[in-house]
Amino acid sequence: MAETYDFLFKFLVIGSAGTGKSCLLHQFIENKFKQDSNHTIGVEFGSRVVNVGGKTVKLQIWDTAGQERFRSVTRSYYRGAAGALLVYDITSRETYNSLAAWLTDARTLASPNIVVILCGNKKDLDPEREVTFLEASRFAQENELMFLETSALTGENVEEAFLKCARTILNKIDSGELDPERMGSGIQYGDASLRQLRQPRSAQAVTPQPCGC
Amino acid sequence: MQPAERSPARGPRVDPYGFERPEDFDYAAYEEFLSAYLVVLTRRALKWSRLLQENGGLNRTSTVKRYVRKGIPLEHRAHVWLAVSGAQAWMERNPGYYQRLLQGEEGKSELEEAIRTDLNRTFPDNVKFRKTAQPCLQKALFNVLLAYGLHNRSVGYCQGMNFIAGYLILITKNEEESFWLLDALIGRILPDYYSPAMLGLKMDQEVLAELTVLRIWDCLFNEGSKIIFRVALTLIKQHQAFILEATSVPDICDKFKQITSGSFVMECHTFMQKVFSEPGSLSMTTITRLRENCRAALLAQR
Repeated sequence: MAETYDFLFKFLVIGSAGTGKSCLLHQFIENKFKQDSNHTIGVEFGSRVVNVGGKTVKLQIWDTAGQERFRSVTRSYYRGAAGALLVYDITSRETYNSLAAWLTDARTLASPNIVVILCGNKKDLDPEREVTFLEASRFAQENELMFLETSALTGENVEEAFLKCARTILNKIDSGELDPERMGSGIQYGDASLRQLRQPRSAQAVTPQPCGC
Repeated sequence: MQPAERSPARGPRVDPYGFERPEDFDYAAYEEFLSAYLVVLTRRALKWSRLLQENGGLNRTSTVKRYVRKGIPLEHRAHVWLAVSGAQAWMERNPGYYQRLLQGEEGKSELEEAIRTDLNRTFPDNVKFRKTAQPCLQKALFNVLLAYGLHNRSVGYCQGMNFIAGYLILITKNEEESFWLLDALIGRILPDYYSPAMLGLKMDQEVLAELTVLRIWDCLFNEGSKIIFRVALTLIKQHQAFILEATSVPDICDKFKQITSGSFVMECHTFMQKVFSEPGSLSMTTITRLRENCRAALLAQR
């Protein structure tokens, strides 16, 4: 891989089934809407190198299955994530109501410092809306989340959501609030790293699972 | 099995089960494989007709096991699956049960909602499951999953079951039979194991060539879940060096996806021979013991 970048961030996409997580990822990576897709089983991956504030950052995105009972499986992928898109569907109150549970999982299993952006997806289906912008932005404020309404169909705010999350992480690195060298930070230095740091292997997000069954 | 009409340059875009072939489908390699495989199929078909004529009821004898391992001809597949899995017997003991499940009103709405979320997301690459198909198999899929969720309330609906039920419907072309086969799989063949096993099954269905999947399922119904381990072990062993090249988790997952395609899995007959020779002996006793250990370890982690 001859890709050069300053940092690598591990991102999660989480939220209830059918909210459009995989479609958001697809839109971000391919710049188009994924028309016919299977639901996700376990986890899928995507990655893209982006430019944020003069730095090149590789986002390694872990897209998870949303069905409640798969949570016991997907939770094991959270470890060491630096950022997350927490997705609900603006036309489904049920998916909004389960946000608190997803958030708890992210903060306890990934890291208490994980940078989370709340995404109210399917913005294009405004006539069927069940959750208002105001209500969700209040929830975001109370829980210290960033917030955007997105549409994986039209692409509106999709790129912005990922970039906003990445930018916030970079700011926190600059201010010293996040230490990339701390184990499980979800951040790795890339080859083009400004510092002459050999990437400590121990800081990798990859932690082998004790048992596959 | 009848190969569908083929143009000399390229085969049909849709396979005999309704699945669209991927863009990069290797028609030439498939053609070559099929011409050899048709000989096998013809021989098996003759042997099966003879076996089924002699033997009114199919018992799980060593002859049947051998026959199943070599593949069940498509025209007998539904019948044999029903017989060897015990689904037929359950269906006969419970006439009208399937229909009654669907007529009941109790506790349906949440289940219906969960199933509906996945209807459009089941085999989007299969023309028979398109909303516009006539008839559209989405309705049958909905019924079978709903009935099953009502029948086995502790399992309800779990993502992954949709693909299994979808396959059963394609093969049996009958809702009630699909329901009882699903019950055999989830209730007995993969008991208490449905969530992780789904991952394996989904892998089979989504990625392996259809012919190979069906050959695996032939044995799954007859011999039980250890066939899944055999398939997984065979794939891993075959591609050991390739998998070890991976340097990250996403890399590993990618590699696991890649090893489920290509000529190794397309040539179903050779593949199935490897499945029974490569991993060596694999007894159910061993698997049961390992499962017990893992279960204890998992429970202790909670």
